[in-house]
Amino acid sequence: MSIRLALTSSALAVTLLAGVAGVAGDRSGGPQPAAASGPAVAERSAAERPAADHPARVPAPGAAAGAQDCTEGETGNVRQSLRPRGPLPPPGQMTPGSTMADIAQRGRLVVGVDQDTYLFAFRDPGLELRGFDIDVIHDISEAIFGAPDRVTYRPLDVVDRVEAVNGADPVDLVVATMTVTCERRERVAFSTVYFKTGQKVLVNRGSGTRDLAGLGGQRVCAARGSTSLVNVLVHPAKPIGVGVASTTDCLVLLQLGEVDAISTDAALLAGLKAQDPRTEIVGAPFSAEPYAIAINSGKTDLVRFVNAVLAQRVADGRWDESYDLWLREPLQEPPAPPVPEYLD
Amino acid sequence: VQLSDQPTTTGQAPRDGVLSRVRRHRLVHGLIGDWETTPGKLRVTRLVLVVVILLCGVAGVRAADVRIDATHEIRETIEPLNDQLTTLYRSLADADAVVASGFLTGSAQPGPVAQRYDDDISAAATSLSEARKNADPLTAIRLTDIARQLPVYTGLIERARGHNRQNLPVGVAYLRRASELMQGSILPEAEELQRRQARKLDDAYQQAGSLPVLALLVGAVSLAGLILAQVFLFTRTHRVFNVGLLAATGVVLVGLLWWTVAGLVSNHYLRDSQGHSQAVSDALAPAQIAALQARAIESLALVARYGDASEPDFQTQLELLARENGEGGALGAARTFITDQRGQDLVRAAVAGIAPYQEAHQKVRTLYNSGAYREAVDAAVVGSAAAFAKLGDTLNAAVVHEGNEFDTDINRAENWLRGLVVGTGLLAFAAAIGAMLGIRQRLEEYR
Repeated sequence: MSIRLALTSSALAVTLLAGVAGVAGDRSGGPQPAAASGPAVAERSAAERPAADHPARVPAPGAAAGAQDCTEGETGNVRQSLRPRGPLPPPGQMTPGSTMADIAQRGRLVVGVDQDTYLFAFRDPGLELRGFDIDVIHDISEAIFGAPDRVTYRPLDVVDRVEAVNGADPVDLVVATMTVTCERRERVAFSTVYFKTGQKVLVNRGSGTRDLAGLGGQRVCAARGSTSLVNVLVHPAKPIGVGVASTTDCLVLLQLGEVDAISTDAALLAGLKAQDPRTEIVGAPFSAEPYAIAINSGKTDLVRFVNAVLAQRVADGRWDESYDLWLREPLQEPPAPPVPEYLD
Repeated sequence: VQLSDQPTTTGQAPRDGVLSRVRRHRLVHGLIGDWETTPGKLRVTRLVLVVVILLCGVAGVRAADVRIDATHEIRETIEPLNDQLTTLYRSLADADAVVASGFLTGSAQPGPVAQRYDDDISAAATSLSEARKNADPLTAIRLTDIARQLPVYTGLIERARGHNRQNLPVGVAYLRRASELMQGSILPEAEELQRRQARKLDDAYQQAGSLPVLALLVGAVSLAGLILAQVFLFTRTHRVFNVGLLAATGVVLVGLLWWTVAGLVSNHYLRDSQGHSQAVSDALAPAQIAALQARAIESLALVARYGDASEPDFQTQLELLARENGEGGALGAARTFITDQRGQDLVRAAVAGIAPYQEAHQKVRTLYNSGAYREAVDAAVVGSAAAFAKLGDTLNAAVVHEGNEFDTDINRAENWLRGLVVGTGLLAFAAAIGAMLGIRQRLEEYR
């Protein structure tokens, strides 16, 4: 295991340098030189595996010692992203040669989503996707095309989200309740944070459980490849982590009595609780989970563009509108749009 | 006429010590006379002939009986069980496909889809309980295992429907779990059972159609015996014809001929019925299942927005259904099994029905890939559903037709054998009497 960790760290260091090169090379916004993204792609499989099944939440040793210290938590810099350059161009008039112009040319924005996450992205009776994440996607489509629905959705399992922006036939964006972490930032670029939540625990009403500490030796469910599952696995109370493809599958297991609790972001738990009134959310949040949009780290112009859209939708009240529609009642908290933090 | 050959033992007084020997001697005498004399030889011949001919009759009756029993077992037990297991497998696969496509049309499951799912589940339940009646202990255990899992599956589907009706995403999570149970556990078990039963059916056919070696052998021996007897009579008496023996020879010949013809005809019908049975269980049922799987994949790809990721799976199923212009795949196999014109026509119609479905499917994919999701769903619910239904109806018609043909042919096979039981018995009896009378006629010439 230690050899594997060392290999992972060196891979991270390589990808980190590549990432920095990519950021520094932000000129026209066109496709980045192969040198910037090449090593990242080559090393990904080595770096990805331990991330998925190794419990250590990575403030990676390699990264800490590297050129740029990435830190998580309330005072961390992990949430910083690229500052928008000037006002947004009018819809339909993207800067020639930019990634947005390519998307406009293609006619559709391709977005990786989770389609079973109630309140964030789920199917309505007409099978259309709706939810808080989908509203964000609609606003980005609106900014590029002047129409909210020029989107091709690609459903992703939680564990496949990073691969989706880097692999063959990549998506433009991943908007899927994705937490920004230092480890993930080695391999993808993130937008500014559009929603903040923290991890809590969902149990059957009347189970007597108050928090994760009371679940030692019991089965606790979370999505494979999520930060939530890692947090469960490293918890000192030693609960038994059960990984599934999608957070909603956890609710099935809880209802069938195959797990004792679900632990993930409070906002996702609120979506599960809304589907099963005989459950309750317990405890205080024990992690910070800032959600941001994942983008290929080569496409810095798209990162800046998306950040401009995110800032604008907060400024013109659409963030509040969307929050009120989906999350206010289930979360029982007033709207608090995250303040964007920038690198540059 | 050689009077010296008359028995000479009369008038001799038995002495002490040899009494028992003499008695035994007399006993044998009563039956055949002196072996050394011609009449003695004739009596021996008569006895041997009658015994062999009667044995021949018994062997013939017995052989026909064994084959009737085997045919009967095929018709009454093995084929029905095979049929029930095929129905079980198919209706379970159909239920799973139907449920997935039900989700396509939104949260409120429309009537026909819900109805078809209900029909499938009740067909599966019926075939389960019917199959248990005919099943051997090992099969019964596996059937019980399926019967145990089926309510778990339907329970998961019920919950999926309930949640889906309330527009809650956990419904799809239940559907996924139910489908995993069906695809990963129930269906493989049902398939394995069906395959095993199909092998059993083949064995039973082998037995029903086997050559009746013993009966034919004894028949040949009695024929040879009759001819030898006539040759012997000819050398001893210089009379060419003996009506009784000649008649017996003719009757045995007729019996052998009847056996050969009836056996061949019955075997022919047996082979045909096996062809119809295999056409269903080895070709048409797999074809139906491949078509259903393709439809399920098409539906799920839309429900779950898989994009083109599941397209190869879809094409694989269609290839399993038919390839090389209907020469290969399950329908190609059906054509080799089916011998009658109407059956061939139905299979051809099914092959012809694939292209329209393939076209309708391409339309769905093109719409989906152009981003017109709503339109793609509509195309799947209307256009490709209609094309699929037509294909499915043709396959169903072929299955029903082959089932009827099976019944007709196995009945014919059995009827031809049934004539043999009575026929062989009567003929053997007649031949035995003929042989007896024929030899008595000669014996009387020695009095």
